[in-house]
Amino acid sequence: MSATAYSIKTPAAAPLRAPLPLPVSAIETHAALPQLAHDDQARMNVGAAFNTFLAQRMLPAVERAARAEVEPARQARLGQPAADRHEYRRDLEQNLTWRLWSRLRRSNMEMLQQAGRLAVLPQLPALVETCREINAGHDRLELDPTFQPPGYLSRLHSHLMPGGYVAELGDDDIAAGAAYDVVTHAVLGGRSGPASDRAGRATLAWLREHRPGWTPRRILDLGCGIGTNTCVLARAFPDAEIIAVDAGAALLRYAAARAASLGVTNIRFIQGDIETPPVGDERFDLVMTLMVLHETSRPGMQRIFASCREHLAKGGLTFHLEQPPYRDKPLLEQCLRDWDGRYNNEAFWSAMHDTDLAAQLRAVGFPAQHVFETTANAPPLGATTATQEDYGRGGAWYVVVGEKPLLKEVSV
Amino acid sequence: MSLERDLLAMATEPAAGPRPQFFDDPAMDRVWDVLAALTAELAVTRTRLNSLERVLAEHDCLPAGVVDGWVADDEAARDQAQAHQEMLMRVFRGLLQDAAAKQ
Ligand SMILES: C[S@@+](CC[C@H](N)C(=O)[O-])C[C@H]1O[C@@H](n2cnc3c(N)ncnc32)[C@H](O)[C@@H]1O
Repeated sequence: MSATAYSIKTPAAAPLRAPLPLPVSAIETHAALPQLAHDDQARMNVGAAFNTFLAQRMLPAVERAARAEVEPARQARLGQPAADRHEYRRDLEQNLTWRLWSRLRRSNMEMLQQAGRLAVLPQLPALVETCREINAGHDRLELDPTFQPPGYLSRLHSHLMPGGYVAELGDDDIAAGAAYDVVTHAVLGGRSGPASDRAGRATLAWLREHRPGWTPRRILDLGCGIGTNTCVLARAFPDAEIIAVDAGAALLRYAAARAASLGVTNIRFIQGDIETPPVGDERFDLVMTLMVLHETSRPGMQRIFASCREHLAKGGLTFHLEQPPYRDKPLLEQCLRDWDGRYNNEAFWSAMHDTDLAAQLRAVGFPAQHVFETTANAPPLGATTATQEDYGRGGAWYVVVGEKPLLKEVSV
Repeated sequence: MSLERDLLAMATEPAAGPRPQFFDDPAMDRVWDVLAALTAELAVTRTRLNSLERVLAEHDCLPAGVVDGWVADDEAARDQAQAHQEMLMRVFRGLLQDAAAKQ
């Protein structure tokens, strides 16, 4: 090889929006994790690669098309730019590049969900047995056979997961939990870490920074899913008593088995509606929702916030982690961020991102001076850091916090 | 791997919710959806072949030309036919889901 470097005349490398995904084999193993055969693993990895391709290569094309085609076309037609996100989106929807990007993104999500289910169903009897055995060995799982999930969870299957969170395919079913574990890792390309727990690590990092030395004794995690993020707090605060609530029995059985198999013993998983959490009149130092509110409804969110206040101990903190609100964002970015709300079955996504969550917390009685907006982040483990926003699948989270003062405020 | 038919159907049920149409002609949505699935299945197949070649090389055990000269027996043919069905369920998922969602 000659010592002279050969230089190819190509454009400079595009900034990374999405790093190369980690393979699904990087998921943190535990006793309840489904075993994926070669091709099932390959399907997950190809799906992750597909998403990376869409973010890295096609999203810039969408942005160029918006600037070079969509905006000038409106200007030429009407002599003025779009007034709001809805006008902008209606124009975008006529654009070929937007249509192709959207079509492929939607198709890939459907494929990943189907692939996750097809990988899990054949081994479901064995997985159910494993979870039964593990959960028989502890008393940290409390299901309610009479429970009726709120309509928004059964009517709309979030992020295209067939059956949604609350389906029961048989006795002691865990299919939704098992599929969620695998598919979430693939959808995020492993950027949330081997345990898909980046939100939990971001929450912990935020607490360490903003409440240094604070050790919550009791934590309530509303909408815990399979508990990956709950486990981060459980490990960081081993003496804390944690209650994790969710509507999905299949998620909770899986979550309880997963946590037990990982040696986490300070979380009780309880089935219930987080609008009225089944925790009696118990109080907690930290009451949180991580990536949950966008799946509820406006009245649902208001009731959840009211419950947070009701179950918060004096001096406690309620913490809600979501994607940032749309306000002040450029219209194109709003449309890109709103994709999940329109095309990925996220019930309350669009409306929630237009809502002032801090005002909602104040409305349920948190004193104005104790409500604030902030951000939380944690380094992605393993994957190289993306330097640009992937609009909804990466980047920093938005957090709204409410504090219950130790002393009653004296009204003046 | 052979799958029970009902599991294939179960895994192919659409998620409850609206099914967006991005193109004026729904056929265009369908064609792109199928293309996406075919692309994914092709990538999976290429990964499989690549893995296989690496395994065989590691074990130093496949004389050249053996695969080209191989003929499936009844059982292998049945397995492969079943695998074809499974692949078609994956590739034509969107078609089936559209039909199911309309009921
Ligand atoms: C996107 S998942 C997030 C799970 C978890 N917080 C995490 O960070 O991984 C949202 C969860 O909220 C649950 N959920 C939404 N609304 C609920 C309600 N009203 N009652 C109980 N659970 C609810 C869903 O079942 C789902 O498991």
